[in-house]
Amino acid sequence: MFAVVSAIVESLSHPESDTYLIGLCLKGHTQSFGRLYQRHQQKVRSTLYQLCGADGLDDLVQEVFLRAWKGLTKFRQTAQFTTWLYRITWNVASDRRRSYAQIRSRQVSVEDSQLQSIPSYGTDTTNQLNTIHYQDLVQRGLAQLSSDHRTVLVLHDLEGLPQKEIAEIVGIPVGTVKSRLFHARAALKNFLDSQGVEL
Amino acid sequence: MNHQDFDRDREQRLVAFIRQHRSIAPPPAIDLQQSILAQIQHQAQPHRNISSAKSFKWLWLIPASIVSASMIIWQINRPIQTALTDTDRQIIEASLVTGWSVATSEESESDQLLITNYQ
Repeated sequence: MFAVVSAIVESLSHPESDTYLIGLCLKGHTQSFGRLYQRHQQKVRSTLYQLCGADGLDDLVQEVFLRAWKGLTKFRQTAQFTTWLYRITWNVASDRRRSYAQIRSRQVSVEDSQLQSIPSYGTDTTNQLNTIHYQDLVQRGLAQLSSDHRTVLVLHDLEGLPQKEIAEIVGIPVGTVKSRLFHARAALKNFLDSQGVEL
Repeated sequence: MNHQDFDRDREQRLVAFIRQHRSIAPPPAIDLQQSILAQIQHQAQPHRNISSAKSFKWLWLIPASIVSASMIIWQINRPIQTALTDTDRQIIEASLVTGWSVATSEESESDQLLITNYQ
């Protein structure tokens, strides 16, 4: 209890902490929100990209930060700001998936055709081609996972979040996180095996 | 290497592979931050007022609880009062008169004794 209180007091007094900046935001300092944006936008952007792809990515990032701004008054000072922001990110990604569910198949075929029309890299080295090829495989492997499995795998293996924090973000027990992670990895491994990737 | 170690090793290699070959998100539009901040300023909420209103909402509980506690303490410590009947009043009056008479007669006797002894 004492440790929590002292951590809060310390974070409140530290001029660069998220909590301190949030306090300024709540007093109407929008520039402080700009500092929070600069600090966290890369993680938000990367997560949204892995979950939703590049289509309309800027709009999604904007939606996340607008929701965060509107919800700042509800943010509990004892909570971790990054966890809270990841939760908003996950909600925005889920909303996006739901709204795009009807046209997903059409998008996939378009993406496939775009992938097939990747320009030839005759002048590039073999390593660069391999990198592009493997990036494409990982992206396609992630795309074929269910949204639940993909979310857990992206947050854990790509964003490096601990399982406990993922459980808090997604709102599921830690055991379920472990289970989903296991199945997601197995499915991705099978996909990569089928594409001739030996790990 | 047992089966569990083998599985763990395979998982670690898989994680390393997807981390190494993860696609990098395209860079944001140059004016994205400005756009977000502009929207925020446009719809700027009276955050401080809302939060201060919320935080001071419970303050009315302080005087109310003080008054309630005082009332309870007063009720507990208050001596029990019962209504006096005419008979009770007469008995008390008689008792006071008797007591007063005895006290005055004893006082005069003791005064006389004192005077006698002094002389």
